[in-house]
Amino acid sequence: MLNVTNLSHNFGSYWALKNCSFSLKKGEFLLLTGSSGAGKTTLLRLLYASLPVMRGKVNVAGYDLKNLPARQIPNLRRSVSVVFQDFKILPYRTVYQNVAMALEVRGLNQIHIDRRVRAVVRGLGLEPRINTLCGELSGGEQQRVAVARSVVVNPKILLADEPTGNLDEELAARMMGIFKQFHMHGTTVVLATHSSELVRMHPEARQLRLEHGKIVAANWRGAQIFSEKIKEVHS
Amino acid sequence: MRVFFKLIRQGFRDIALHPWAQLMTLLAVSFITFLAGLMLLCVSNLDTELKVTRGEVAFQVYWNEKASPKKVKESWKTLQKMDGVVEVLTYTPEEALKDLGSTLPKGSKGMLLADNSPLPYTAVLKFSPRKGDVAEWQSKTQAALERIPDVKTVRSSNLKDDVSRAWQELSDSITMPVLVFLAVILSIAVGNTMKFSLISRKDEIEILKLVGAKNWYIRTPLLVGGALLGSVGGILGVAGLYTAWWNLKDTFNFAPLHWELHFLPVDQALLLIVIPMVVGSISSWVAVRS
Ligand SMILES: Nc1ncnc2c1ncn2[C@@H]1O[C@H](COP(=O)(O)OP(=O)(O)O)[C@@H](O)[C@H]1O
Ligand SMILES: [Mg+2]
Repeated sequence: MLNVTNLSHNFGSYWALKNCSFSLKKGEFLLLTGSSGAGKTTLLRLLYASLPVMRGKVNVAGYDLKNLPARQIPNLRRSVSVVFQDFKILPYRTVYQNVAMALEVRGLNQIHIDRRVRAVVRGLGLEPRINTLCGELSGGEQQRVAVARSVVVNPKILLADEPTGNLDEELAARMMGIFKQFHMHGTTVVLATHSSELVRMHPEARQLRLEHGKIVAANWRGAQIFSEKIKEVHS
Repeated sequence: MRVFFKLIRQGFRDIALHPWAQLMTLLAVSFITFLAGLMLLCVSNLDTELKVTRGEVAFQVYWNEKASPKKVKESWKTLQKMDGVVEVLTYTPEEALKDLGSTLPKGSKGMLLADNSPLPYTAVLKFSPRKGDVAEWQSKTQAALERIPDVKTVRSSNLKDDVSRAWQELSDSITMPVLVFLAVILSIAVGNTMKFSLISRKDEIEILKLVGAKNWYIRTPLLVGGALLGSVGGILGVAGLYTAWWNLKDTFNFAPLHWELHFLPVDQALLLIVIPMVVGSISSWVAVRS
Protein backbone atom coordinates (compact mmCIF):
# COMPACT_ATOMS: atom_id res chain seq x y z
CA MET A 1 0.00 0.00 0.00
CA LEU A 2 2.82 2.36 0.90
CA ASN A 3 6.46 1.73 0.11
CA VAL A 4 9.32 4.12 0.74
CA THR A 5 12.87 3.11 -0.21
CA ASN A 6 15.99 5.19 0.40
CA LEU A 7 14.04 8.42 0.14
CA SER A 8 15.99 11.66 0.45
CA HIS A 9 14.87 15.20 -0.17
CA ASN A 10 16.70 18.50 -0.15
CA PHE A 11 15.66 22.14 -0.19
CA GLY A 12 18.68 23.71 -1.82
CA SER A 13 21.65 22.51 0.14
CA TYR A 14 19.60 21.51 3.17
CA TRP A 15 18.68 17.84 3.38
CA ALA A 16 15.27 17.66 5.05
CA LEU A 17 15.04 13.88 4.60
CA LYS A 18 17.93 11.47 4.50
CA ASN A 19 17.72 7.94 3.20
CA CYS A 20 14.38 6.93 4.73
CA SER A 21 12.90 3.48 4.15
CA PHE A 22 9.74 1.87 5.50
CA SER A 23 6.62 0.20 4.25
CA LEU A 24 3.02 -0.10 5.38
CA LYS A 25 0.44 -2.70 4.48
CA LYS A 26 -3.22 -2.03 3.96
CA GLY A 27 -4.94 -1.02 7.17
CA GLU A 28 -1.86 -0.27 9.20
CA PHE A 29 -1.58 2.70 11.54
CA LEU A 30 1.63 4.67 11.76
CA LEU A 31 2.54 7.42 14.17
CA LEU A 32 5.26 9.58 12.68
CA THR A 33 6.96 11.43 15.50
CA GLY A 34 9.78 13.90 15.84
CA SER A 35 10.34 17.38 17.07
CA SER A 36 9.43 20.39 14.99
CA GLY A 37 11.62 20.66 11.90
CA ALA A 38 12.46 16.96 11.86
CA GLY A 39 11.01 16.47 8.37
CA LYS A 40 7.56 15.02 9.05
CA THR A 41 5.67 17.43 6.81
CA THR A 42 8.25 17.00 4.07
CA LEU A 43 7.81 13.22 4.18
CA LEU A 44 4.02 13.52 4.00
CA ARG A 45 4.19 16.01 1.11
CA LEU A 46 6.29 13.56 -0.84
CA LEU A 47 3.63 10.91 -0.26
CA TYR A 48 0.83 12.94 -1.87
CA ALA A 49 2.93 14.31 -4.73
CA SER A 50 3.05 17.84 -3.45
CA LEU A 51 6.82 17.58 -3.70
CA PRO A 52 8.55 15.65 -6.49
CA VAL A 53 10.49 12.52 -5.61
CA MET A 54 14.11 13.10 -6.59
CA ARG A 55 16.12 10.51 -4.65
CA GLY A 56 14.84 7.09 -3.80
CA LYS A 57 11.56 5.35 -4.55
CA VAL A 58 8.04 5.92 -3.35
CA ASN A 59 5.03 3.80 -4.17
CA VAL A 60 1.64 4.86 -2.82
CA ALA A 61 -1.58 2.95 -3.49
CA GLY A 62 -0.01 1.44 -6.59
CA TYR A 63 1.31 4.73 -8.00
CA ASP A 64 5.02 5.04 -8.63
CA LEU A 65 5.53 8.63 -7.53
CA LYS A 66 8.94 9.00 -9.08
CA ASN A 67 7.56 8.60 -12.59
CA LEU A 68 4.03 9.85 -12.05
CA PRO A 69 2.67 11.86 -15.00
CA ALA A 70 0.96 15.11 -13.93
CA ARG A 71 -2.44 13.98 -15.17
CA GLN A 72 -2.31 11.00 -12.78
CA ILE A 73 -1.92 13.21 -9.72
CA PRO A 74 -5.71 13.78 -9.31
CA ASN A 75 -6.20 10.01 -9.32
CA LEU A 76 -3.53 9.51 -6.66
CA ARG A 77 -5.17 12.17 -4.52
CA ARG A 78 -8.50 10.41 -4.71
CA SER A 79 -6.86 7.46 -2.98
CA VAL A 80 -4.86 9.53 -0.54
CA SER A 81 -6.62 12.04 1.73
CA VAL A 82 -4.66 14.58 3.70
CA VAL A 83 -5.33 16.57 6.84
CA PHE A 84 -3.04 19.56 6.45
CA GLN A 85 -1.12 21.16 9.25
CA ASP A 86 -2.51 24.53 8.17
CA PHE A 87 -5.98 23.04 7.44
CA LYS A 88 -6.34 24.50 3.94
CA ILE A 89 -10.03 25.20 4.29
CA LEU A 90 -11.82 28.15 2.70
CA PRO A 91 -12.84 30.81 5.25
CA TYR A 92 -15.62 32.26 3.09
CA ARG A 93 -17.34 28.91 2.61
CA THR A 94 -19.50 27.14 5.17
CA VAL A 95 -18.52 23.98 7.02
CA TYR A 96 -20.87 22.03 4.79
CA GLN A 97 -19.41 23.48 1.58
CA ASN A 98 -15.83 22.84 2.66
CA VAL A 99 -16.52 19.23 3.50
CA ALA A 100 -18.70 18.61 0.42
CA MET A 101 -15.95 19.93 -1.87
CA ALA A 102 -13.97 16.69 -1.66
CA LEU A 103 -16.98 14.68 -2.82
CA GLU A 104 -18.07 17.17 -5.48
CA VAL A 105 -14.80 16.96 -7.39
CA ARG A 106 -15.47 13.24 -7.71
CA GLY A 107 -18.77 13.95 -9.42
CA LEU A 108 -20.96 12.12 -6.90
CA ASN A 109 -24.65 12.80 -6.82
CA GLN A 110 -26.05 15.41 -4.49
CA ILE A 111 -28.13 13.07 -2.32
CA HIS A 112 -25.12 10.86 -1.64
CA ILE A 113 -22.95 13.87 -0.92
CA ASP A 114 -25.50 15.30 1.47
CA ARG A 115 -25.85 12.07 3.43
CA ARG A 116 -22.11 11.53 3.81
CA VAL A 117 -21.30 15.12 4.69
CA ARG A 118 -23.94 15.21 7.44
CA ALA A 119 -22.82 11.89 8.89
CA VAL A 120 -19.17 12.92 9.10
CA VAL A 121 -19.94 16.41 10.42
CA ARG A 122 -22.10 14.86 13.14
CA GLY A 123 -19.35 12.38 14.02
CA LEU A 124 -16.94 15.25 14.60
CA GLY A 125 -19.36 17.24 16.74
CA LEU A 126 -19.65 20.06 14.20
CA GLU A 127 -23.34 19.68 13.51
CA PRO A 128 -24.43 22.93 15.21
CA ARG A 129 -21.90 24.81 13.06
CA ILE A 130 -22.70 23.15 9.75
CA ASN A 131 -23.88 26.36 8.05
CA THR A 132 -21.32 28.64 9.69
CA LEU A 133 -18.60 30.23 7.56
CA CYS A 134 -15.32 28.55 8.40
CA GLY A 135 -13.63 31.90 8.93
CA GLU A 136 -15.81 32.37 12.01
CA LEU A 137 -14.75 29.09 13.63
CA SER A 138 -12.14 28.59 16.32
CA GLY A 139 -8.84 26.91 15.45
CA GLY A 140 -9.97 23.61 16.91
CA GLU A 141 -13.21 23.70 14.95
CA GLN A 142 -11.37 24.50 11.73
CA GLN A 143 -9.09 21.57 12.34
CA ARG A 144 -12.10 19.31 12.68
CA VAL A 145 -13.46 20.63 9.39
CA ALA A 146 -10.15 19.71 7.78
CA VAL A 147 -10.41 16.22 9.24
CA ALA A 148 -14.03 15.90 8.15
CA ARG A 149 -13.12 16.81 4.56
CA SER A 150 -10.39 14.20 4.43
CA VAL A 151 -12.35 11.31 5.91
CA VAL A 152 -15.62 12.02 4.10
CA VAL A 153 -14.30 10.39 0.92
CA ASN A 154 -13.45 7.11 2.63
CA PRO A 155 -9.83 7.15 1.46
CA LYS A 156 -7.56 4.15 1.08
CA ILE A 157 -4.78 6.09 2.77
CA LEU A 158 -5.16 8.93 5.23
CA LEU A 159 -2.24 11.25 5.92
CA ALA A 160 -2.67 13.60 8.85
CA ASP A 161 -0.20 16.34 9.73
CA GLU A 162 -0.51 17.34 13.39
CA PRO A 163 -4.29 16.83 13.36
CA THR A 164 -4.59 17.20 17.12
CA GLY A 165 -2.28 20.16 17.45
CA ASN A 166 -4.98 22.69 18.27
CA LEU A 167 -7.30 20.46 20.25
CA ASP A 168 -7.76 20.01 23.97
CA GLU A 169 -7.31 16.54 25.39
CA GLU A 170 -10.90 15.50 25.13
CA LEU A 171 -11.27 16.57 21.49
CA ALA A 172 -7.90 15.05 20.64
CA ALA A 173 -9.08 11.76 22.06
CA ARG A 174 -12.28 12.05 20.07
CA MET A 175 -10.33 12.81 16.89
CA MET A 176 -8.12 9.78 17.50
CA GLY A 177 -11.29 7.77 17.93
CA ILE A 178 -12.39 8.85 14.46
CA PHE A 179 -9.05 7.92 12.89
CA LYS A 180 -9.16 4.62 14.70
CA GLN A 181 -12.63 3.97 13.36
CA PHE A 182 -11.47 4.51 9.76
CA HIS A 183 -8.41 2.46 10.44
CA MET A 184 -10.64 -0.39 11.65
CA HIS A 185 -12.47 -0.23 8.32
CA GLY A 186 -9.24 -0.80 6.45
CA THR A 187 -7.87 2.69 5.87
CA THR A 188 -4.10 2.99 6.13
CA VAL A 189 -3.31 5.91 8.43
CA VAL A 190 -0.12 7.93 8.76
CA LEU A 191 -0.32 10.47 11.54
CA ALA A 192 2.48 12.96 12.05
CA THR A 193 2.81 14.51 15.50
CA HIS A 194 5.39 16.14 17.73
CA SER A 195 3.35 15.28 20.80
CA SER A 196 4.81 12.50 22.90
CA GLU A 197 1.48 12.47 24.71
CA LEU A 198 -0.19 10.91 21.69
CA VAL A 199 2.51 8.25 21.49
CA ARG A 200 2.07 7.42 25.13
CA MET A 201 -1.68 7.15 24.66
CA HIS A 202 -1.36 4.81 21.68
CA PRO A 203 1.52 2.49 22.38
CA GLU A 204 -0.15 -0.08 20.17
CA ALA A 205 0.37 1.95 16.97
CA ARG A 206 3.41 1.58 14.80
CA GLN A 207 5.93 4.31 15.27
CA LEU A 208 8.68 5.97 13.32
CA ARG A 209 10.79 8.62 14.93
CA LEU A 210 12.43 11.25 12.71
CA GLU A 211 15.29 13.46 13.76
CA HIS A 212 16.99 15.87 11.39
CA GLY A 213 15.52 13.98 8.45
CA LYS A 214 16.65 10.55 9.58
CA ILE A 215 14.63 7.66 10.94
CA VAL A 216 16.21 7.17 14.33
CA ALA A 217 13.77 4.76 15.90
CA ALA A 218 11.05 2.38 14.83
CA ASN A 219 8.41 0.55 16.80
CA TRP A 220 7.26 -2.08 14.38
CA ARG A 221 4.43 -4.45 15.12
CA GLY A 222 1.95 -6.92 13.72
CA ALA A 223 -1.45 -6.32 12.19
CA GLN A 224 -3.58 -5.97 15.35
CA ILE A 225 -2.06 -2.65 16.08
CA PHE A 226 -4.53 -1.23 18.54
CA SER A 227 -4.89 -4.42 20.55
CA GLU A 228 -1.19 -4.90 21.09
CA LYS A 229 0.35 -3.91 24.35
CA ILE A 230 3.99 -4.81 23.96
CA LYS A 231 6.43 -2.05 23.21
CA GLU A 232 9.40 -2.85 21.14
CA VAL A 233 11.82 -0.35 19.71
CA HIS A 234 14.70 -1.01 17.43
CA SER A 235 16.76 1.31 15.26
CA MET B 1 -23.14 16.08 -17.59
CA ARG B 2 -24.80 17.09 -14.32
CA VAL B 3 -21.40 17.99 -12.93
CA PHE B 4 -20.74 19.99 -16.05
CA PHE B 5 -23.88 22.08 -15.54
CA LYS B 6 -22.91 22.56 -11.94
CA LEU B 7 -19.55 23.94 -13.05
CA ILE B 8 -21.25 26.27 -15.49
CA ARG B 9 -23.45 27.54 -12.68
CA GLN B 10 -20.31 27.92 -10.61
CA GLY B 11 -18.86 30.05 -13.39
CA PHE B 12 -21.86 32.36 -13.16
CA ARG B 13 -21.67 32.49 -9.38
CA ASP B 14 -17.94 33.27 -9.39
CA ILE B 15 -18.69 36.54 -11.14
CA ALA B 16 -20.33 37.66 -7.91
CA LEU B 17 -17.03 37.09 -6.07
CA HIS B 18 -15.43 40.16 -7.65
CA PRO B 19 -18.31 42.20 -9.00
CA TRP B 20 -16.26 45.37 -9.49
CA ALA B 21 -13.37 43.83 -11.35
CA GLN B 22 -15.82 41.97 -13.54
CA LEU B 23 -17.93 45.06 -14.12
CA MET B 24 -14.90 47.10 -15.17
CA THR B 25 -13.83 44.43 -17.62
CA LEU B 26 -17.35 44.16 -18.90
CA LEU B 27 -17.37 47.89 -19.57
CA ALA B 28 -13.96 47.68 -21.22
CA VAL B 29 -15.12 44.85 -23.47
CA SER B 30 -18.30 46.75 -24.39
CA PHE B 31 -16.37 49.90 -25.11
CA ILE B 32 -13.79 48.17 -27.28
CA THR B 33 -16.51 46.34 -29.15
CA PHE B 34 -18.39 49.60 -29.59
CA LEU B 35 -15.34 51.35 -31.02
CA ALA B 36 -14.54 48.51 -33.38
CA GLY B 37 -18.17 48.43 -34.46
CA LEU B 38 -18.17 52.18 -35.03
CA MET B 39 -15.14 51.82 -37.26
CA LEU B 40 -16.81 49.07 -39.25
CA LEU B 41 -20.00 51.11 -39.45
CA CYS B 42 -18.15 54.07 -40.98
CA VAL B 43 -16.32 51.86 -43.44
CA SER B 44 -19.49 50.07 -44.43
CA ASN B 45 -21.47 53.30 -44.95
CA LEU B 46 -18.77 55.10 -46.89
CA ASP B 47 -18.43 51.99 -48.94
CA THR B 48 -22.06 52.00 -50.03
CA GLU B 49 -22.15 55.72 -50.52
CA LEU B 50 -19.09 55.77 -52.75
CA LYS B 51 -20.41 52.92 -54.83
CA VAL B 52 -23.73 54.69 -55.35
CA THR B 53 -22.43 58.12 -56.26
CA ARG B 54 -19.54 56.97 -58.36
CA GLY B 55 -21.54 54.60 -60.51
CA GLU B 56 -19.89 51.49 -61.57
CA VAL B 57 -20.97 50.31 -65.00
CA ALA B 58 -21.79 52.34 -68.09
CA PHE B 59 -23.26 51.15 -71.41
CA GLN B 60 -22.96 52.87 -74.72
CA VAL B 61 -25.73 52.00 -77.11
CA TYR B 62 -25.41 52.68 -80.87
CA TRP B 63 -28.38 52.50 -83.22
CA ASN B 64 -28.38 51.67 -86.94
CA GLU B 65 -27.79 54.68 -89.17
CA LYS B 66 -31.10 53.98 -90.86
CA ALA B 67 -33.16 53.68 -87.68
CA SER B 68 -36.21 55.92 -87.66
CA PRO B 69 -35.73 58.93 -85.34
CA LYS B 70 -39.23 58.51 -83.98
CA LYS B 71 -38.73 54.94 -82.88
CA VAL B 72 -35.33 55.65 -81.39
CA LYS B 73 -36.74 58.50 -79.33
CA GLU B 74 -39.50 56.21 -78.05
CA SER B 75 -37.02 53.63 -76.87
CA TRP B 76 -35.04 56.37 -75.12
CA LYS B 77 -38.05 56.88 -72.87
CA THR B 78 -38.02 53.22 -71.83
CA LEU B 79 -34.31 53.44 -71.02
CA GLN B 80 -35.08 55.94 -68.28
CA LYS B 81 -37.22 53.37 -66.55
CA MET B 82 -34.63 50.61 -66.41
CA ASP B 83 -33.90 49.21 -62.98
CA GLY B 84 -30.94 50.76 -61.21
CA VAL B 85 -30.26 53.34 -63.89
CA VAL B 86 -28.60 56.44 -62.52
CA GLU B 87 -28.12 58.60 -65.57
CA VAL B 88 -29.14 58.45 -69.24
CA LEU B 89 -27.48 60.65 -71.81
CA THR B 90 -28.85 60.59 -75.34
CA TYR B 91 -27.39 61.99 -78.52
CA THR B 92 -28.99 62.56 -81.88
CA PRO B 93 -26.48 62.41 -84.73
CA GLU B 94 -26.34 66.20 -84.74
CA GLU B 95 -25.79 66.45 -81.00
CA ALA B 96 -23.16 63.76 -81.19
CA LEU B 97 -21.39 65.67 -83.89
CA LYS B 98 -21.49 68.88 -81.89
CA ASP B 99 -20.22 67.03 -78.87
CA LEU B 100 -17.47 65.46 -80.89
CA GLY B 101 -16.67 68.72 -82.63
CA SER B 102 -16.10 70.47 -79.33
CA THR B 103 -13.43 67.97 -78.45
CA LEU B 104 -11.65 68.12 -81.79
CA PRO B 105 -8.78 70.49 -82.47
CA LYS B 106 -9.60 73.66 -84.39
CA GLY B 107 -9.25 73.41 -88.10
CA SER B 108 -10.44 69.88 -88.41
CA LYS B 109 -14.01 71.12 -87.96
CA GLY B 110 -14.50 71.88 -91.59
CA MET B 111 -14.07 68.26 -92.47
CA LEU B 112 -17.35 67.37 -90.83
CA LEU B 113 -20.56 67.91 -92.71
CA ALA B 114 -23.05 69.63 -90.45
CA ASP B 115 -26.17 68.51 -92.26
CA ASN B 116 -25.23 64.97 -92.98
CA SER B 117 -23.72 63.62 -89.82
CA PRO B 118 -22.03 60.23 -90.20
CA LEU B 119 -22.73 59.45 -86.57
CA PRO B 120 -25.62 57.22 -85.37
CA TYR B 121 -28.14 57.81 -82.61
CA THR B 122 -26.37 57.10 -79.32
CA ALA B 123 -27.23 56.66 -75.64
CA VAL B 124 -24.99 56.40 -72.61
CA LEU B 125 -26.47 54.71 -69.53
CA LYS B 126 -24.89 54.68 -66.11
CA PHE B 127 -25.94 52.10 -63.55
CA SER B 128 -25.29 51.92 -59.85
CA PRO B 129 -23.73 48.61 -58.94
CA ARG B 130 -25.91 45.91 -57.54
CA LYS B 131 -25.02 43.35 -54.96
CA GLY B 132 -24.03 39.88 -56.02
CA ASP B 133 -22.57 38.89 -59.32
CA VAL B 134 -21.85 42.10 -61.20
CA ALA B 135 -20.46 40.30 -64.25
CA GLU B 136 -23.59 38.25 -64.69
CA TRP B 137 -25.83 41.28 -64.24
CA GLN B 138 -23.70 43.16 -66.74
CA SER B 139 -24.00 40.57 -69.49
CA LYS B 140 -27.76 40.25 -68.92
CA THR B 141 -28.23 44.00 -69.13
CA GLN B 142 -26.10 44.10 -72.25
CA ALA B 143 -28.25 41.41 -73.85
CA ALA B 144 -31.43 43.31 -72.92
CA LEU B 145 -30.10 46.49 -74.53
CA GLU B 146 -29.14 44.60 -77.66
CA ARG B 147 -32.73 43.37 -78.01
CA ILE B 148 -34.02 46.94 -78.44
CA PRO B 149 -35.15 47.31 -82.10
CA ASP B 150 -32.60 48.80 -84.51
CA VAL B 151 -29.78 48.73 -81.96
CA LYS B 152 -26.55 47.93 -83.73
CA THR B 153 -23.95 47.59 -80.98
CA VAL B 154 -23.75 47.88 -77.21
CA ARG B 155 -20.52 48.47 -75.41
CA SER B 156 -20.05 48.38 -71.67
CA SER B 157 -17.29 49.64 -69.47
CA ASN B 158 -16.62 49.76 -65.78
CA LEU B 159 -16.65 53.35 -64.80
CA LYS B 160 -15.26 53.00 -61.33
CA ASP B 161 -12.67 55.68 -61.00
CA ASP B 162 -9.36 55.47 -59.23
CA VAL B 163 -10.65 56.98 -56.02
CA SER B 164 -13.44 54.54 -55.57
CA ARG B 165 -11.28 51.67 -56.71
CA ALA B 166 -8.67 52.61 -54.14
CA TRP B 167 -11.36 53.03 -51.51
CA GLN B 168 -12.78 49.65 -52.35
CA GLU B 169 -9.41 48.06 -51.80
CA LEU B 170 -8.91 49.95 -48.57
CA SER B 171 -12.31 49.03 -47.21
CA ASP B 172 -11.81 45.41 -48.17
CA SER B 173 -8.49 45.33 -46.38
CA ILE B 174 -9.61 47.31 -43.34
CA THR B 175 -12.31 45.00 -42.01
CA MET B 176 -10.00 42.11 -41.16
CA PRO B 177 -7.40 44.20 -39.30
CA VAL B 178 -10.17 45.90 -37.32
CA LEU B 179 -11.53 42.52 -36.23
CA VAL B 180 -8.05 41.19 -35.41
CA PHE B 181 -7.28 44.35 -33.46
CA LEU B 182 -10.53 43.87 -31.57
CA ALA B 183 -9.56 40.29 -30.74
CA VAL B 184 -6.09 41.24 -29.50
CA ILE B 185 -7.25 44.08 -27.25
CA LEU B 186 -10.05 41.96 -25.88
CA SER B 187 -7.77 39.06 -25.11
CA ILE B 188 -5.56 41.35 -23.08
CA ALA B 189 -8.50 42.84 -21.18
CA VAL B 190 -10.33 39.60 -20.46
CA GLY B 191 -7.14 37.61 -19.91
CA ASN B 192 -5.99 40.01 -17.23
CA THR B 193 -9.29 39.94 -15.41
CA MET B 194 -9.27 36.18 -15.49
CA LYS B 195 -5.74 36.17 -14.12
CA PHE B 196 -6.93 38.47 -11.38
CA SER B 197 -9.87 36.28 -10.45
CA LEU B 198 -7.50 33.33 -10.64
CA ILE B 199 -5.11 34.90 -8.18
CA SER B 200 -7.93 35.63 -5.78
CA ARG B 201 -9.13 32.05 -6.18
CA LYS B 202 -5.62 30.67 -5.74
CA ASP B 203 -6.45 29.09 -2.39
CA GLU B 204 -9.55 27.45 -3.71
CA ILE B 205 -7.75 26.10 -6.75
CA GLU B 206 -4.91 24.77 -4.63
CA ILE B 207 -7.37 22.98 -2.37
CA LEU B 208 -9.35 21.63 -5.29
CA LYS B 209 -6.15 20.15 -6.66
CA LEU B 210 -5.24 18.68 -3.29
CA VAL B 211 -8.57 16.90 -2.96
CA GLY B 212 -8.21 15.37 -6.41
CA ALA B 213 -9.96 17.74 -8.84
CA LYS B 214 -9.04 17.24 -12.46
CA ASN B 215 -7.93 20.18 -14.57
CA TRP B 216 -11.17 20.52 -16.51
CA TYR B 217 -13.08 20.70 -13.25
CA ILE B 218 -11.01 23.70 -12.24
CA ARG B 219 -11.00 25.34 -15.65
CA THR B 220 -14.62 25.03 -16.74
CA PRO B 221 -16.00 27.73 -14.41
CA LEU B 222 -13.27 30.14 -15.53
CA LEU B 223 -13.91 29.32 -19.14
CA VAL B 224 -17.60 29.99 -18.66
CA GLY B 225 -16.78 33.23 -16.87
CA GLY B 226 -14.53 34.36 -19.73
CA ALA B 227 -17.05 33.44 -22.40
CA LEU B 228 -19.78 35.18 -20.43
CA LEU B 229 -17.75 38.36 -19.97
CA GLY B 230 -16.93 38.36 -23.66
CA SER B 231 -20.40 37.73 -25.00
CA VAL B 232 -22.25 40.02 -22.60
CA GLY B 233 -19.66 42.73 -23.27
CA GLY B 234 -20.04 42.16 -26.99
CA ILE B 235 -23.82 42.33 -26.81
CA LEU B 236 -23.70 45.55 -24.78
CA GLY B 237 -21.20 47.02 -27.25
CA VAL B 238 -23.37 46.17 -30.24
CA ALA B 239 -26.46 47.44 -28.42
CA GLY B 240 -24.67 50.71 -27.74
CA LEU B 241 -23.65 50.89 -31.37
CA TYR B 242 -27.25 50.28 -32.44
CA THR B 243 -28.49 53.06 -30.16
CA ALA B 244 -25.86 55.43 -31.51
CA TRP B 245 -26.77 54.51 -35.06
CA TRP B 246 -30.49 54.95 -34.36
CA ASN B 247 -29.88 58.48 -33.15
CA LEU B 248 -27.50 59.44 -35.92
CA LYS B 249 -28.84 57.69 -38.97
CA ASP B 250 -30.68 60.73 -40.31
CA THR B 251 -27.87 63.19 -39.63
CA PHE B 252 -26.94 63.40 -43.31
CA ASN B 253 -30.40 62.66 -44.61
CA PHE B 254 -31.27 66.04 -46.10
CA ALA B 255 -31.40 67.41 -49.64
CA PRO B 256 -29.32 67.20 -51.72
CA LEU B 257 -27.29 64.56 -49.88
CA HIS B 258 -30.07 62.10 -48.96
CA TRP B 259 -27.55 59.98 -47.20
CA GLU B 260 -29.27 57.65 -44.74
CA LEU B 261 -26.79 55.69 -42.64
CA HIS B 262 -27.42 51.97 -42.52
CA PHE B 263 -26.52 49.61 -39.67
CA LEU B 264 -23.82 46.96 -39.89
CA PRO B 265 -24.58 43.85 -41.93
CA VAL B 266 -25.86 41.05 -39.69
CA ASP B 267 -22.75 38.91 -40.14
CA GLN B 268 -20.47 41.69 -38.96
CA ALA B 269 -22.70 42.48 -35.99
CA LEU B 270 -22.65 38.80 -35.03
CA LEU B 271 -18.87 38.72 -35.34
CA LEU B 272 -18.70 41.60 -32.87
CA ILE B 273 -20.40 39.33 -30.33
CA VAL B 274 -18.80 36.02 -31.26
CA ILE B 275 -15.23 37.31 -31.32
CA PRO B 276 -15.29 38.67 -27.73
CA MET B 277 -16.94 35.46 -26.59
CA VAL B 278 -14.36 33.19 -28.20
CA VAL B 279 -11.48 35.44 -27.20
CA GLY B 280 -12.86 35.60 -23.64
CA SER B 281 -12.88 31.85 -23.21
CA ILE B 282 -9.53 31.33 -24.91
CA SER B 283 -7.79 33.98 -22.87
CA SER B 284 -9.19 32.65 -19.62
CA TRP B 285 -7.96 29.20 -20.65
CA VAL B 286 -4.51 30.63 -21.28
CA ALA B 287 -4.65 32.47 -17.95
CA VAL B 288 -5.21 29.17 -16.12
CA ARG B 289 -2.36 27.47 -17.91
CA SER B 290 0.32 29.97 -17.03
N1 LIG C 1 9.68 24.64 1.11
C1 LIG C 1 10.78 24.62 1.90
N2 LIG C 1 11.89 25.29 1.55
C2 LIG C 1 13.00 25.26 2.30
N3 LIG C 1 13.11 24.56 3.43
C3 LIG C 1 12.06 23.85 3.85
C4 LIG C 1 10.83 23.84 3.10
N4 LIG C 1 9.96 23.03 3.74
C5 LIG C 1 10.58 22.59 4.84
N5 LIG C 1 11.85 23.06 4.91
C6 LIG C 1 12.84 22.74 5.98
O1 LIG C 1 12.92 21.35 6.11
C7 LIG C 1 12.99 21.00 7.46
C8 LIG C 1 11.87 20.02 7.80
O2 LIG C 1 10.64 20.73 7.76
P1 LIG C 1 9.26 20.02 8.00
O3 LIG C 1 9.18 18.82 7.14
O4 LIG C 1 8.19 21.02 7.84
O5 LIG C 1 9.37 19.60 9.53
P2 LIG C 1 8.23 19.16 10.55
O6 LIG C 1 6.95 19.02 9.80
O7 LIG C 1 8.72 17.86 11.11
O8 LIG C 1 8.16 20.22 11.59
C9 LIG C 1 12.92 22.28 8.26
O9 LIG C 1 14.23 22.63 8.68
C10 LIG C 1 12.37 23.29 7.31
O10 LIG C 1 12.92 24.55 7.56
MG1 LIG D 1 5.20 19.96 10.05
